[in-house]
Amino acid sequence: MNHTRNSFVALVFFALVACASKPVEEHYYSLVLAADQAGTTVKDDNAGAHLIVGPVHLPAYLNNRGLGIAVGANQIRTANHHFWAEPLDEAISKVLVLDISRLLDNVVVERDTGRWTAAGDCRLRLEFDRFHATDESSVVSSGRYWVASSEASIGREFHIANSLSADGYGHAVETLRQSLGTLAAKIAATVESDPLCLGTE
Amino acid sequence: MSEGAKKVIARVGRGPGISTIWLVPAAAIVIGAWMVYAHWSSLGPLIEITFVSGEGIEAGKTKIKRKNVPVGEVLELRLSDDAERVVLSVRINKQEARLLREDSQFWVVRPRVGKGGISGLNTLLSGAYIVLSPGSGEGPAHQFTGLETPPFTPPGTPGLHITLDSDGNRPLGEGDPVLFHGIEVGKIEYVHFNSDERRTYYNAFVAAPYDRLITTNTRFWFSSGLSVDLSADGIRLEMASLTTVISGGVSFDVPVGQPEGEHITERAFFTIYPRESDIHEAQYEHALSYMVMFDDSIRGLKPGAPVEYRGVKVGNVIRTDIVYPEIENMLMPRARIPVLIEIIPARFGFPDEEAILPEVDGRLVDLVGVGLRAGLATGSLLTGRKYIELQYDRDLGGDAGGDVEVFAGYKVIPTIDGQLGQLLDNASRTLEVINKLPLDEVLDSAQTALDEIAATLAEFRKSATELDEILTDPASHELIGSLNKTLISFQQLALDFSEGSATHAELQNSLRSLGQTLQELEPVLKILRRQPNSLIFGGGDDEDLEPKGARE
Repeated sequence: MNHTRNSFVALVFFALVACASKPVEEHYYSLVLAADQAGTTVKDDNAGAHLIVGPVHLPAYLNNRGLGIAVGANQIRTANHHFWAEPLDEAISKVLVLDISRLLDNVVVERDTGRWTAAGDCRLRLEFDRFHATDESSVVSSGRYWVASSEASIGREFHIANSLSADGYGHAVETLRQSLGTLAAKIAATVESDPLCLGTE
Repeated sequence: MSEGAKKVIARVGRGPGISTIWLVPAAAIVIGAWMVYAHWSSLGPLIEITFVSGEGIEAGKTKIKRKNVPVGEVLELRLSDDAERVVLSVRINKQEARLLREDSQFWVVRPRVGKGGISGLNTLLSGAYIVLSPGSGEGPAHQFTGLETPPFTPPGTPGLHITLDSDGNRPLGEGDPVLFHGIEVGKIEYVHFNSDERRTYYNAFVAAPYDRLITTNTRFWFSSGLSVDLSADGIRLEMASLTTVISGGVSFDVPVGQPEGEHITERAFFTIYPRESDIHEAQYEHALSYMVMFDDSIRGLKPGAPVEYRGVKVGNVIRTDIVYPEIENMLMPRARIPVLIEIIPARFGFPDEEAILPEVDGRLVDLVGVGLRAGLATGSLLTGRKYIELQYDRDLGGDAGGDVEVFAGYKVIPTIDGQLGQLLDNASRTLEVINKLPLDEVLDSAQTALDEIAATLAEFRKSATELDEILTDPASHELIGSLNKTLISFQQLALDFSEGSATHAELQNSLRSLGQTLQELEPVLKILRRQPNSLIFGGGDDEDLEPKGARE
């Protein structure tokens, strides 16, 4: 009797083991690690005018850890095994600080960390509508930003689309990071057009 | 054996050799060895981290993280040989081995309640983890001692490390702020009490760009937030911001009137003065000591009291005790009380140099010859504190360069009449002035004024009585007490949870972490709803839709 019961238990066990599938590996992606930080230096606090980057507003569907891919015109699928390594709004602001700082020699660019800032500092506020890959072999970044000084505010829309040359989320993240570089160039041009921000007026 | 039979001889020949069937196990051995090598070569380095406690750490579960990205895992926990510490065996991912330098730091993130607020709340959901902070020193290293608390300053942070010391009367704690004009620019990182010197040393870090404010002329003082000073100048009340009142700290600045000095780029040592006012006193190095012998009581005169010359502070009282070998006992009718004072030549406008001391001493002795005397004066009627005033006695006069009395090795500056004599003198002068006044007219005016004051006082008394009734009502007392407690509680609560506080940030992180966890659970719940047996047999649609590159 015991022999029969043991055989039955062993049979069920092996059946379950045979049916079990291999767990799928999880992947984490970082925009900051993708950024080229070589040659970046921390500017002297007295080097010139200040630009405070933040806050960065994201739509609810981007405010989660899974990477998104747009399917069709209005459908988003969130990946179950491909994640952002840090909150996306923080990562975006860090990358923008790096890129804008490189483009503007006479401006000290820093993230809005809640610390005390002078009343005359310029602020950059961003609102994203899209920041994801699509099923049409591209990545899209769009939204708007505002550069505000103590006396005026300049707002601009942006829509940046880059095509993908390789498969996978890894390449998509690299391309999204390149789109942030393009966005940083637009923002730098806006700041340079505002004499109040550059402290030249 | 018959003749016809042939003789058969068995010939021993060479066999066909090793059978080809042995190639199978040989190939298996080679493949197995290759798999073992491939596995071994893909492993990252195995390191050991020592902690005082293993609270919250679990083998096979606790992760090592860098910027919230897992870079390793705890494989094993064991006690050290002396059973006093916990040794963790940790496998670091191969590609992150470059982070292991000799000054790399590790600490456990778990819920903590400290002076700076609550931290690590998000680990209530995710479990404790260990943070790796890569160093910049030599590498690679494999043995580390973990920190029991997160470091206030991660390695490589730009700024300046300094060492402060004090006599330990008002101790600071690790994490207390370093303030400049009320703005927090650094923190106390480490506190050490040297029992031989009876002094406390503090290692502090001032973050860039504020480290440029530290110069050779910088002075530090305790900013306890609230201080009451009873001195000859009266009562002085100083109160800093509410945060500083709660947590304390140390402030710094360059004394008024002094140049900024040279910037400091390497670790420097500074003394912490008890009060901000003391940093201005500490700028002179050379002084002359004299003795003043009083006939009357010196009650109210304390060490540190000022010595003034025509209303300008020129020195301090050093000693007011009577323990001198020259004094046998004070029970003599003519016994005088010695007071040791110091006079700072720089406060007369001379350079603060030792070479100038004999010249100033000679001039003071000459002035004593022409009538310079020391007298007791009352600094504050409220506190009764006294100070010493140097003044000329017009009635004396005389020649410069006369003999000067010496007591206990110090030259004696003679005193003028006691305070009672001064009072009588002043009173007689005042009476003379009063005699000259047009008293009749003044009295008429005064009578009118007094009538008006009496009427006003009557109204005030009535109001005061009504107010007194309100205040003496027990219900009012309870209400005021309750209001006070509520306000204090609310103030503390608002501080703990106000925007920018550590607790506020932690709560935000925790809520974000909770939200992310729920989002990550969402796909699992969807699969379970669609395919309940997927917990055992696995989900059917585990693969994600991935972006595809454009085809030419």
